[in-house]
Amino acid sequence: MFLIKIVDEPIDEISIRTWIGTDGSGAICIFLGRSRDNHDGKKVIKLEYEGYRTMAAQELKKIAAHMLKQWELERVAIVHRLGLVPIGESSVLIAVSAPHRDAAFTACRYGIDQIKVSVPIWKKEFYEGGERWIGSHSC
Amino acid sequence: MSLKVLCFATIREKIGEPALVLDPPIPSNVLELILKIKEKYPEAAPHLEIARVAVNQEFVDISHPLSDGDEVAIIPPVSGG
Repeated sequence: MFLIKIVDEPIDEISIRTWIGTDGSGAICIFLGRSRDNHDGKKVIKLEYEGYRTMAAQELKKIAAHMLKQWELERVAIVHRLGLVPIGESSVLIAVSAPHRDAAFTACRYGIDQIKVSVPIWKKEFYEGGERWIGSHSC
Repeated sequence: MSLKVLCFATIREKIGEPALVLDPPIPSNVLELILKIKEKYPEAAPHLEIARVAVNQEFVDISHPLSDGDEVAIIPPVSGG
């Protein structure tokens, strides 16, 4: 079973933790991606995310379905926040429950790595006196 | 008939609109579409070079045919997470 959400407000980490914890879960692995206050030595003052919502939700579902097929898991939850994400708040959450920890760790790692490959969401960093989209450095 | 093309992030900023409406004739495939947009918006060309295209919310290659009513989106390198 999986849960996919794209939200514009702070991610409700507690409710996801509750949902993910089935009685058959011997292990829960939760990854949080957070807004950091620096990048390449520059001070980041804010981060904004833009998404192609409908397709991003489709791609997140594909990732979650693959995780459930590939590893012995109980539940998978993926939540991505869009819009302004203040420094110190979470932009993404991947939560995986499983009977055993190896599958939970491995699947969780796969989930965040795959988001950075196939999910149409973009991050823009704002600095003192500048801004840039991450992922398109060569242009 | 016209074709609506969704634009995001760098592409949206270069083109100045979140969506383009291309007048007929509709390009026959994705490659023709990209060439048409490059011609109209040369400042977006370097970004189009490294972008992928989705039709009806699935990534496609440049030979993918286009039809009236398709939802087309230009997808610059993603950076979620």
